[in-house]
Amino acid sequence: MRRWLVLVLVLASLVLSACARQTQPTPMAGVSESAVPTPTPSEGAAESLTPTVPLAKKVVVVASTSVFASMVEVVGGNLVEVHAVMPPGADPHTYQPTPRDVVKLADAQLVVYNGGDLDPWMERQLEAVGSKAKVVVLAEGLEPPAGVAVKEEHIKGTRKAEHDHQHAEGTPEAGHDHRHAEGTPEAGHDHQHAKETPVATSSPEHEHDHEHGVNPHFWLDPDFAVIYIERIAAGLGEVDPAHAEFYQTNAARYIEEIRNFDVWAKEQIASIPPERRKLVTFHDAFPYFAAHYGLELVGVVVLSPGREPSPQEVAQLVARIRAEGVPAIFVEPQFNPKLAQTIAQEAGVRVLELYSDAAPAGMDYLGMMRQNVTNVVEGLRG
Amino acid sequence: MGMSGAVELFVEPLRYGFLLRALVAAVLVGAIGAVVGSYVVLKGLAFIGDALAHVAFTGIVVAFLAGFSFYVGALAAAITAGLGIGWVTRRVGLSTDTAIGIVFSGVFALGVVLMAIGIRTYTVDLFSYVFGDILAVRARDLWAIALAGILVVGVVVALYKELLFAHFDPVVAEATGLPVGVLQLVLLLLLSVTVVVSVQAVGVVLVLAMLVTPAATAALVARRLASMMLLAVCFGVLAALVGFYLSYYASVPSGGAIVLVATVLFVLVAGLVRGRGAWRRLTAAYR
Repeated sequence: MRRWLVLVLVLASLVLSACARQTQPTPMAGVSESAVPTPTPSEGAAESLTPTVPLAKKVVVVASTSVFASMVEVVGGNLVEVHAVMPPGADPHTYQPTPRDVVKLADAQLVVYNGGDLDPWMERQLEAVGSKAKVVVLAEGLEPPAGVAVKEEHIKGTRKAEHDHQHAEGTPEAGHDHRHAEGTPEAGHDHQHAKETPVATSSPEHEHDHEHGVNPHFWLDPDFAVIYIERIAAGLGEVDPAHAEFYQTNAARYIEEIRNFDVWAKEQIASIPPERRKLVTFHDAFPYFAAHYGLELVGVVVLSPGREPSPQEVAQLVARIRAEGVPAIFVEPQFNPKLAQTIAQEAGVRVLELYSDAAPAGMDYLGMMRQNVTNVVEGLRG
Repeated sequence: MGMSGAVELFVEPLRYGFLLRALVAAVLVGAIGAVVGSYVVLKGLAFIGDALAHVAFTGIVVAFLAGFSFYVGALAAAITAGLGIGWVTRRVGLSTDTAIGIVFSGVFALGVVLMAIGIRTYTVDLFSYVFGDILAVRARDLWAIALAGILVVGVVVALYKELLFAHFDPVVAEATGLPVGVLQLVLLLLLSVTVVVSVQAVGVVLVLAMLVTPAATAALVARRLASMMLLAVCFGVLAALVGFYLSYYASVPSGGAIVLVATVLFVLVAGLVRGRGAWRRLTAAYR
C-alpha cells in the first residue's frame, strides 16, 4: 500500500514538473493562438485612422463565435483585441472551451454574443466567471420581419393539432406560400406565443428570459447585421468613450459596405430564374436570409439541433424537393452531411455548402455572406 | 526553478474564481466517483454512467415540454431509471448490466421520440443542457456536488458492511435478515444522483471516466474493498489535480486533460503490476 502511494507521488511530481518546464518560456502561448486573425477588407482603412496602441491599452473583447468577432474586429480596428470563444468552423452547439478561453472571458471589458437559443452557454459561462464586462446581446429584442413565419411550416402534414397557423398544413401548395400568407399580425402572434410558454422562465438556465421559439439567426439578413454592427459600436463606445467617434466612423463605413454587398447580392440572386429561387438547408438557420433575398424556404433537414427527422418528414422533404423542382440542398460544414446527401441523392439534386453559425477560417462576416450568395447562385441558377 | 516559482505555478490559475471552482469540482468528482466507482468496477457496471447521462436527457426533454426545471427533470429521470433497473433485476433475475441496457435504451428512445413530437420549431440544443462544462461550474453546482458527495460517502461509511454483504454475498445476507433488495436499490439511487449531479456540473466524459478508471486502477493493487476505495480516491484526486494544471498550461479542454491523466495512470499501473494476481484475489473476495 505504502509502495503505491510513493509511486503515485513520484508520478505526480514528474508530470507537474514536465509540464511546468515545457510551458515556462511562453506562458501566453495559448492566448496568442486563440486571437482572431485580422485580415479583413476594411481593416486596412481603419488602421490609417488611428495611432498604433500598445497591446496593454487595447479594449479586450470576447465574442461567442468567429462571425461576431469579425464584426467587432472591423468596428474596433486596432484599438481592440478580439477573441472568439468558438474557433472558426467549430459547432457552437457542442464546443468545449479551454481554460485560456475562459480566462479571456473573465478579463474582457466587452462581451458580445447573439442571445436567444443560439449560444445559451455564454450566459452560464458569464455567470460562472462572475464577469463584470459590458455585455452586448446582439439579437436582443429583435423580432422576425413581417412575412417570415418562425414556426413549423417546414414540417407540414403531421400533427395538425400542434399547428395554429391559418393555412392548411396538409397540402404542400398552401404551406410553402408562407411569405405571402402570413402578415405582421401572425408573426407578432408567434413571438408573443413563444414568450408566454412557461418554458421561457422555468429552468435555472433561463433567468435571462430567452425568447424560445424565435429563430436566432438574425445576422444572416444584412438588415439585421447592420443592427448588430450598430450595437457593437455603441458597446465599444460605452467601454471606451474616448474613441466612441472612431468606432462610429468604422461602423458607418462597414454598414456602407454591407449595403453595397446587399445591392450586389440582390443582383446576383436576380440572375436566378424566379422558379428556381428555392432553398433547402440543413439546419434552420436561413429563414431571414431567404426572406430578405426573395428565396422560398422549401424545407430544412433538421428543424432544431439534435432533433432527428422522422422517416415521414424525410420522405415529405424529398417529395417536396421533387415537386417544387428545388435545384440543390445546402449543407453546413459544422454538421455531418450524410443525411442531406442521402436526401439529395434520392431527390436527384446537388449538394452545396452555406455558412451560418461558423464562418470559414480567415473570413469575416461579409466574406462569409459573399460566399453564401455565390454558392446559392451556383446551386440554383443551373 | 525556485520554490516560489513552483508555488506561483500552482497559484496562478487559482486567482480566477471559476478556475478555483473548476479545480474543486474536479477533485470532488474524482473523489466521489472513486468511492461509488469501486462498486461499479467490482460489479461490472461501467456502462451505468453513460446510461444515466442519456436517461437525464429524456428528463430534460420532458422538463422542457412540460415547462419545469431542467435540473428536476434530469434528477427525476435518473431516479426513475435507477428504480427501474433495480425492479428489472429483482423481478426477473436478469443481470444488472442487462437491466441497465434495457432501461437506458428504452428511456433514451422515449426522449428522442418525445423531442420529435414536442419540438416543432427552432429550439436550443437540449443535449447541451445534459452536459455541463467544468469551466462553467457555478457556486450552486459546487453545492450540489458537495451535497451528493456527503450523501454518498455518508451512506457508504454508515452501511459499509451491509452494502458489502448485500452486493457481494446476497444469499448469506438474505439469510441473516438483511433487506438485500433495499440495500441494492440504495446503491443504485446513490449512483443515479451522483452521476446526474456531476454530469450537469462538469460534463459527461469526465464523470464516466471518474466512475471507472481510478477505481479500476486501484483494483489492480488493492486487496480489500476499503483499501480499493481509498486508493481510488487518491488516483481520482491526483488525476483531477494533474489534469487541471495540464489543461491550464497546455491550453486544452480541462475535462479531456483530466480523463487522459487518469487513463495514463491506469496504463502505468497496469504495466507495473505483476500478472493478474491482485485483480483475481480481489474479485474472488467479492463475488
